Amino acid sequence: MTSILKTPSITLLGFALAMGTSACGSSSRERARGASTQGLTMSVDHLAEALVWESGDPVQVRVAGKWMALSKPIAGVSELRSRGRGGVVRVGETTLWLRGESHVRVGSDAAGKLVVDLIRGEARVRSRKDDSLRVGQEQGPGRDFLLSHRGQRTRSVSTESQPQHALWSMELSRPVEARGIGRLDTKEGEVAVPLELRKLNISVHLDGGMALTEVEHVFYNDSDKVLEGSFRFPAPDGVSVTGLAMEINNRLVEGEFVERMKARQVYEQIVDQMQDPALLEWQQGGWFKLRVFPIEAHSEKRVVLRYQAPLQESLEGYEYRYLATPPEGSQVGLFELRIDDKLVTHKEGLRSAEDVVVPVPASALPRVAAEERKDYSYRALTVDADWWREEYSRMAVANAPVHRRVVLALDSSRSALENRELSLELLGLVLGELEPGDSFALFAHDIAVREAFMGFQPASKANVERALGFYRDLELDGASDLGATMQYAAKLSEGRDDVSVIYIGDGTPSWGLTQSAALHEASEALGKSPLFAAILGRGASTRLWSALTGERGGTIVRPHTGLQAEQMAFFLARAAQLPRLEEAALVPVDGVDIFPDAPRTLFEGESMTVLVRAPQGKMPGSLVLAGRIGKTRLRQSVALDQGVVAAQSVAQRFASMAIARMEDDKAPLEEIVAMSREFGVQSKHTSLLVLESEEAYRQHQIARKEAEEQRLSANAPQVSGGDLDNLGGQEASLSPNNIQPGDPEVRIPAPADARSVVLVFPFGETKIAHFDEEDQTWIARFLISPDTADGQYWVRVHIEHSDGRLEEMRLPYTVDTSAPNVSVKLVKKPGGRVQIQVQELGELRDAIRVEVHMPWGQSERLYAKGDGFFRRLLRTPRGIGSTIAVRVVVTDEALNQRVLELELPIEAQ
Amino acid sequence: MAASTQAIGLAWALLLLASSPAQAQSQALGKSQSKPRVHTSLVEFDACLPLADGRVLAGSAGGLVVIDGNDRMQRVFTQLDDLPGTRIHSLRASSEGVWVGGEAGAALITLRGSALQVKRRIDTSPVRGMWIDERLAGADERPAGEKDIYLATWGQGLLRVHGDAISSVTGADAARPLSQPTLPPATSNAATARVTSVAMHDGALWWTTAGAGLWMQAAGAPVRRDESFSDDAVLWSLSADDTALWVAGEEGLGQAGRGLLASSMHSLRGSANVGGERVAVSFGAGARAWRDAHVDLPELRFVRSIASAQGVSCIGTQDELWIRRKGSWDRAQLQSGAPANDIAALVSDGTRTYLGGFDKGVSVLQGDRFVPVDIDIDPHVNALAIDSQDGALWIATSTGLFRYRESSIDRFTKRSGLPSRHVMSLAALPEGGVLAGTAAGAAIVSGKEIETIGGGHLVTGNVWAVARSADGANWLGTTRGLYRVRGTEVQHLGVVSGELSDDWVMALAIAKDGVFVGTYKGGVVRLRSDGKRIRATALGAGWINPGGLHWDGSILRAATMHGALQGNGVDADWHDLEPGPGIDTTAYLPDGEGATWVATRRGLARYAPSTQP
Repeated sequence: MTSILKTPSITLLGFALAMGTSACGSSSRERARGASTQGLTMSVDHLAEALVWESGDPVQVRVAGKWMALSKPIAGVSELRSRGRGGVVRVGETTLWLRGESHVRVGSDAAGKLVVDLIRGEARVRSRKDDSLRVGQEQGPGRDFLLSHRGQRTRSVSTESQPQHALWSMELSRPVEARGIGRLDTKEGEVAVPLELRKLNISVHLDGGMALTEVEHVFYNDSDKVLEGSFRFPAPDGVSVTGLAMEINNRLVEGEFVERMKARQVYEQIVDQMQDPALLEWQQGGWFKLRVFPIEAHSEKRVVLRYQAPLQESLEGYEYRYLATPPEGSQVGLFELRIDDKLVTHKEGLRSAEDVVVPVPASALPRVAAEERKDYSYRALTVDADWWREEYSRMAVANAPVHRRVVLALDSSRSALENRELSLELLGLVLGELEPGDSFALFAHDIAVREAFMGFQPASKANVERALGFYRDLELDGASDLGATMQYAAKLSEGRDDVSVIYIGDGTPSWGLTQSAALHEASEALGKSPLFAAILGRGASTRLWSALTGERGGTIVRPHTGLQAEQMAFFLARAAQLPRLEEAALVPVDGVDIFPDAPRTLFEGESMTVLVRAPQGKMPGSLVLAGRIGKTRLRQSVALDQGVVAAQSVAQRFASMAIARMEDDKAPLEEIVAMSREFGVQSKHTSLLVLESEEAYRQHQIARKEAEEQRLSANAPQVSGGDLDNLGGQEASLSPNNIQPGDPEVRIPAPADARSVVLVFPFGETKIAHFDEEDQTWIARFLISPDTADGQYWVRVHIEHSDGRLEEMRLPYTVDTSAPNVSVKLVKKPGGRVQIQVQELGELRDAIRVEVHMPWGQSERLYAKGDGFFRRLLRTPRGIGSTIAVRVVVTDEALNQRVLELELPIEAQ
Repeated sequence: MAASTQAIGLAWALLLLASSPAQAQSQALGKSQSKPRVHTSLVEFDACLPLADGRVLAGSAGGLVVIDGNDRMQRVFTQLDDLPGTRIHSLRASSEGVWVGGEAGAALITLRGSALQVKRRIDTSPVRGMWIDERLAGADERPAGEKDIYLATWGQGLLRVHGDAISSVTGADAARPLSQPTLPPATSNAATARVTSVAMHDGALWWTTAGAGLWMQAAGAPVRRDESFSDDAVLWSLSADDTALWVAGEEGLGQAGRGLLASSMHSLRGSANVGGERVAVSFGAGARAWRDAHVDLPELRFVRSIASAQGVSCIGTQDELWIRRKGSWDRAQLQSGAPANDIAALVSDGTRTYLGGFDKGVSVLQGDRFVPVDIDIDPHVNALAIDSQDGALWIATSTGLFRYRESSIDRFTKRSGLPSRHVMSLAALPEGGVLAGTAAGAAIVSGKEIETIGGGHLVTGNVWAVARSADGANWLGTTRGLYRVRGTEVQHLGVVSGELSDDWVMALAIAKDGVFVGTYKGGVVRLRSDGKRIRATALGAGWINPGGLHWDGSILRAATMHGALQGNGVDADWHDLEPGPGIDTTAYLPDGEGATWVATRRGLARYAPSTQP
């Protein structure tokens, strides 16, 4: 049975949507493992002890009926409320985290327990003492709880049972990072000066579990000068960019996905000729960078960025979150956020962080989102393991050991240098989560193994310090022998299910066993010990590690910030106790593409996003989710034909995952670019390019994807469910990169404080680049000798960063000395005119200019119509015969020219 | 526009390289046997070799340098001394002398005092390494004709020279006599053809490649790859000692048969035994002893070579040579003749001669050397011009136009009003100021004012050449042909309209009777107007370098990628002019004293008046 669920409207206040089960089956989140609260009874309606502010944004407290800012320790607090991001407070042995816009009552009950009654928002409360808290009417034992009140009732759960929903609390203990608000910097001399941000408009459209987001920045240049600027935007984690538009001559011009090198080449070619090209490229760490010129004096400049991201799971279903943190010392003139056209947030003069959280109950989302395209059908759905089934629950009662035993395997190979600091931080956090009675073993590995200690050691402060010191003193060098790592870890863990193995490193095997199959086989030595992996850096295959950890009851995380490391450590500390479905995978179906395509571990409380593509008419009615709990193999049916709702973003989500897999498998560049362009999803090999006119796109032979029509019809960019791994977007460019022998220029966007940027050329020469202050790039020129054969060549670039880290990249260029081949014809047109048509032949169509000279002395340039086709209408003088002598000159990107002297008949139309 | 380093294609190149040394020089210099004074920059020391007499030879981008026993420079030899190119990549001692591997092949030389004698020369792709197989046959050394000479070439793979025959070790070609002008396989892009060093060890022949790993051939066995290194490894050198055959490469240091060993150094260019310890050198991380053994080493960064022999060690870096004798390191005292080898522009105001480097900024001749002009400009110089009114030096660079006079400097960029900050060409104007060609059009720059040619509406692409004719018209040579702009009148001449055979215009020279246009591939064309139409006459030559056409009285000189040429501007009769230390000639400039400068991509040479034809 198919039911259609409408997307609910969401209002600013009240969160009026009721919770409830979906019409087509329940989800694990609906099965209450926690308790509901409503107006807890207190014997004493205030705190006797003093409340202290710890971190985050300031919190307001109510004392003796009056509200005041918590600026110093104060007793007698009866209520607290938070603003901005939220804050962290402490009273005695208890820590209370309040998410932004949350409101709690506090007091104590007759038994002397601290009572926390959540009125609105979200909170987490943790006490060092057992059984000293009351947060719900019927709560279980414990000392760490999560509370959520986004609807009509408060839900509370033990943090240990759903640690993934506590990750927001860790942000509050960290310094504010720039989020959600871009800046446009111009230069005055050596100083970067940000322009005033007049408006920041966020428009969100919820579509089948995804948030299609459009972020519009409006900047203002209040100077008398025409400025050039650099726009930078910190993208949230897990987003997929789908569009870019920029205001040019008072018109919003849409960008186009272009192969990365070509985009850079076109940009470089025209940046000095035209005024308004824009090139959006990834930079490292999830920042977008866009060069903008010109910014007219006393004028506004509008930049629109579109991306999509999955809704986040929460205690009460899902939520949409937008965290906007203005750069220090700046403000946003007007900040507005709309979801499905309903205004959610309106703030003027925003100076501090604004954490907009909008709950979306699970019932409000379609069970299965569907999209039909010409040849294929696409489905997206969220799959949970059937934890509501008795057999699952019975088997999944975790034999949670009283004390944890952890084996830590640290990558000490050369490639670990790049992320050394983060590795150290993560190690410290993981060890910090160990409690008295826990123990750990630690070893480092490259092509040999070095143990920090002999066997397991208690997790004492002294041992933790020794462990950190051990890592700090390591000389990171050599290759990575992952097979030997697994074997050594297995020796320590003895294959026991009460020992967790945690790998920290870049995950790339470069010694000994390097093939996936061999590594899988080696990992079997781990037996029942779950394997978790923190993969740092860009190189490792996500698929490989997803499969390795998925088969071993663990999970893979790719942290690239300290916060993510902290969140991972927090989760790891609790994961061993969580019921889980191991080797969870969808059974393949012939002719049907399914993501994810590698087994994983599905912890209770976690769900799996599944994307399916099948030829038209061949979509199966259901899939089978298979997995294992302990030794028992389980299968459950997943319906694809129930609760189906049409959505506009499913194909893109599928494409995003397909692209990620292609990049992992090092598929041909052309295929990746083609898919990126076809579906409008950014990849590592494409950039978004904005040119000032349609003619400019034609001139540079960039086919338009009718982005404007798509956008208008879709009301938002399209969706991708995939999480693009850190693209490490230090992209270099070479201009021109399709060249004749000559002197091209290489630009490397390495940091200004890099120690050196060295280029090794395929003709054997090595050059040191120099830093151009104005362009903020490293530049080197080189010469290509005229006897260089046609073909593709690679320049190796070595960047030595200021911290000693080495980065290598390769930059291709093509030497082309072949002139294009064309066919030419003349076609008679009405009105005494003739149309000359020139078609470039062959697979490589790189002609950029076609000129003709007619026998009556007229020389003209033909119009490029795309795909190597050029034409122009010409008026012919009277008396012209049926055959015309024409000179045709065709020039390609590398400035090769073909000159044809032809006698052409005038063909009938 | 890069130096053509191989004997291919054009007739005059073969004449220069394939002839015997004496003949080559006499052809180049006309009838004189005098040699010019050569100015090169002694940088990029790719090789060094201590000699038995205490001297040290060093191969640099500026020639072969001879250092005496006191670490002082004695002489520099270049292509003009019949070496196989000015840029020297490798050195190998043999019983008959020293083999020198350069960018145009290999040569066996001897040094008698300060005189160089080239005993034998083999023209190939750049030779990055050599091995002379002088293994004993019985009790005697093999006679000269029976020696095998292995050349590690960049582009032609590993070559074996036996007697007069040359063959490819890596290919199936039969041995070819050296006398045949056709060389073994044409330059290949394949990584296997980029051989960087060669050595014999334990009876087998080993060679490294840049991108295809390590290869070997044992006696009587087929060629095979050493699988202990990856098949795409970029390896730079081999060095044998009693323990192993050491392999230095991008990923670190290894040994043949054992693969890459743990190393914390990257981009290793070589290794050698110094003071009994293995020392590796890196382009970026200096020199370090293997396994942290204690060896006293200088603090360096960009190192290109290391060698030890005769109890002496030497290290070549990006711009220095270090020598270790008796346990301590000293820097060799070198004196470069110019700050740059790749010279993009040369100009003289009669009293001062300025040189613009491709990526080394501006320098001025002081005494007998060029010294850098200490100004803060982009080092990528494209053109120079002297202001006809105030004598200021105008400098066209990749990131702006600069006007330098008496230690003050003005900068003009797009913000100032130039069509583009990438300035490619200059022409001094009679009224002062310059006509500047940029990547997006041309402009007249005088003082602080800028007037764009064509009012900003002229879309030209890169303007590689500019000139002003007597009628006040501005001529712009671009990649889209030639533009004549006079006021608002714009005329375009190019391939489509039949005046040119190549739209890529690199140089312009205005004469009374016409405009002479030098193009990239289509040679020189003379354009004359008869009042009604423009007539073009092709004058031949080709591969004109930017700004490479000048009238000197009644002589038209062309600086081309294959040398300097002289013509009459009437027909296609061109003659070679004096050569420089490189073939790719960028400027030919008579100075105020009757001498002539020939600037190339490998340095410059000054010919005294008596040597001119």
